[in-house]
Amino acid sequence: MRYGIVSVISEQSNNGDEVTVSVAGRFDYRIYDSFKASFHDIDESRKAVNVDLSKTDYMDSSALGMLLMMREHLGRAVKICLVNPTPDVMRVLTIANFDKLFSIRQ
Amino acid sequence: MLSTETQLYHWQFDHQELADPDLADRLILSLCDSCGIEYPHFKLQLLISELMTNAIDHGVLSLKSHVKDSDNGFEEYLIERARRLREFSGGSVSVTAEWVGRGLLRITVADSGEGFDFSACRYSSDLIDIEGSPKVHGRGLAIIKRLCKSVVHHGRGNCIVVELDVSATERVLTGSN
Repeated sequence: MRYGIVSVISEQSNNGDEVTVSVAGRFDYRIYDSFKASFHDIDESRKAVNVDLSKTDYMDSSALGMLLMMREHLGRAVKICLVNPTPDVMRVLTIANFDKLFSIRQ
Repeated sequence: MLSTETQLYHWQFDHQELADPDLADRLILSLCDSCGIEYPHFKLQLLISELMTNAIDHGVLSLKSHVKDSDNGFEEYLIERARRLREFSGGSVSVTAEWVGRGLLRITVADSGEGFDFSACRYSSDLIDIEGSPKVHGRGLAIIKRLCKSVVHHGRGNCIVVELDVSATERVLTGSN
């Protein structure tokens, strides 16, 4: 296996307004449990959730489904921003037109 | 081109192998090795992963995507998928690959499932509907269509033949079709 490291880390900003969820390694259905746990307790008191994709080296349609699931769970009040996707991951997001559904920050 | 141009590579997976979560990874490694493609190849990896997911989930296991619609649907889908992988027997998936032109790889994936009515297939390559909402189903097939030069369904819908331009990267991936 090329993708040895898979982890999802969730951390708050200093003022608590924002939460950053980082997905390192491979982003697919196999990390479903940890990805879900990373945002499950986030409520509408937060302004934004940043999904850090700078260390994500693979993503498929199941990851796209999980991002939509997150969007649905958080509701429109919480802004989701996909941060620093790697070039390969950016390609998948572009194929899926996810650049029109989420804001992407390079 | 090398003499591999006319060679047909074939892989056959029985039910036990289909339960291996690393199956798609193993197939990609073997396919790259056989066909002389440099690994890792992101586009090929994504394509194989989506093709195998469709063949296993919707073909062999007869899982329906609408299960994902309900609350916790995705989770239920994964639980049901794992259960069927444990309990089902007798299913298989076969994969062939061959060079059909310069840099053009034809991949055929056939599963033992019931297939689907592809003449009524409403899945286009668009992943967002007219109102700008994401489509709930068919993301995998839409990605396959966006990646490949051609996509043709055969048989009772249990066989898909795609042609991927292995040499092209950015052009195909960022195209709007």
